[in-house]
Amino acid sequence: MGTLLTALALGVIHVALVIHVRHILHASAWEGARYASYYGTTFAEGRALTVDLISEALSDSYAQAVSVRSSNVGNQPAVTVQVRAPIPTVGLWSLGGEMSVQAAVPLEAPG
Amino acid sequence: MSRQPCHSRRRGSSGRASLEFLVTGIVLFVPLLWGAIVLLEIQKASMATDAAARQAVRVFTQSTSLDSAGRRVQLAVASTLGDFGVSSPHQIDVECQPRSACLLPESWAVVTVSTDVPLVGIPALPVSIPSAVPVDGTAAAQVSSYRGIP
Repeated sequence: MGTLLTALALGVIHVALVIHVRHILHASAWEGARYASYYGTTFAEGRALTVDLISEALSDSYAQAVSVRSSNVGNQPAVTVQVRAPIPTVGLWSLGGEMSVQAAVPLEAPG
Repeated sequence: MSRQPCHSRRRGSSGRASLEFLVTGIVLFVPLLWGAIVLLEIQKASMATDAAARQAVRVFTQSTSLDSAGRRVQLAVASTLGDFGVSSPHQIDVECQPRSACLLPESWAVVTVSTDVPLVGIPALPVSIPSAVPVDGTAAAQVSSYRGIP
């Protein structure tokens, strides 16, 4: 009975950790997209910011597949940063699986 | 004759264990799950309002007229909160410092984005808990010194 309760508790903690990791990845993707949307910066600089933030907050292995592309938000030209990262299995160590988050920020326009 | 009490004792023991599991499960895990969900929702809203405020203050200080600035701030905040998946209604507060010099060179703008995170209710709970947690994010930026007067 104690084993089952312990497993349940660890399960709850693990689900919370996965959602937390997802939030971190999305926030990092958004930061990169925001930076890339500025006049004076390039998409590569936005991507580099996302990679830096993920490496610092989680680990390098979560920042392996970061891609930047131009897109649209409403009718506005925008930049989208997409992060594909492993799903953590035990702590941050992953057995497999992949989750994907993306964030889009409209490009700065004069006016 | 000697088998009977032994049998009933075993049944009684297993009954207590499942009761313990049920009580511990409800008393321990419902609040744990509820707390985890609420904290993650608050974390999301906190990151979203902070991001929205920073984006809004950038958009505001880059604009050349107050009209377009207000419109673009609203768009920026709505798109940012939507991107983060925060759907609850929000308020935007833009404050210029000094107050009379909105968008003039070297003036400051402070944007506060606030929203209420609705809490997941526990129907059977008799205690009254607040139904929402207010969350806000603030960012400040200065208009460029080389900006023409709008």
